[in-house]
Amino acid sequence: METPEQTVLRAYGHFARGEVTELLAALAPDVEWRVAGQGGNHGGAARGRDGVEAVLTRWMTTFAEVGVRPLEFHAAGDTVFVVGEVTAVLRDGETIRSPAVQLFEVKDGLVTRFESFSELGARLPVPSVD
Amino acid sequence: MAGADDPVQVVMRGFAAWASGDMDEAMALLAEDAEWNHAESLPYGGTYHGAREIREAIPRWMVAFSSVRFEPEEVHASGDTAWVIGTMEATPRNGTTVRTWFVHAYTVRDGRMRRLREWTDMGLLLARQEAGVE
Repeated sequence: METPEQTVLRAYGHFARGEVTELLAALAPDVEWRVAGQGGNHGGAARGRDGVEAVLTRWMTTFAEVGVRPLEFHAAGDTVFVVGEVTAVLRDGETIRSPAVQLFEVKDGLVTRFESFSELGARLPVPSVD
Repeated sequence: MAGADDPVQVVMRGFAAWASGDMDEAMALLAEDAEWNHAESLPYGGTYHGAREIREAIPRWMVAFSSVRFEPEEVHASGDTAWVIGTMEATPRNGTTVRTWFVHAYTVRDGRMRRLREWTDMGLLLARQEAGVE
């Protein structure tokens, strides 16, 4: 069985390679997903794999590219805190970067909760509206 | 980990002291060689070295606000570090209250905070308010 940190690393790998099916499979069926902060199409909460897939699809239509660079991993039992940087490339080519902390809760090798905390939404030039 | 070295206990004492306005107690929890990574986007953002520099910086930052409150919602211990997630609320003296998220990480050694790191979008939201951008 993977450690929670290994599960998180695997999820980041799928995200980086654009492997949506594999990424969703790394999540628990009733996963809780939240991106904190303001900024319309960037922030918000979702539940379940379908909910997360809808969020990812929305990002892909809103931004030219969305990326995350995990730099530090801190395990607290089944919870893993990741310190890093998130990036969004806007349709006009502008790149927005922000320091970030992402929290994962892992149970039986699946991510049951994901939360992302960054300034990305607040750094967007104009808050977008759903 | 238990007692005086438990990072969660030390950090919660710090939040309680801040909430009650007992800055002497809050500052007493800092190690002399403490390092504070104050979120870059906040007023006076940057890294402060040493308890003395931090003690001097906080009142400078606070002068623009009538209140800054923190509501810790969850705390996790990872070794000697306590991770705190919650909501912060800042009321500028010449503006309206802004509420948003924060994440803090406190590394504790010998019962005192050795390293404080913070993340929030509060600074950007305050700047937007000041610029009249909603």
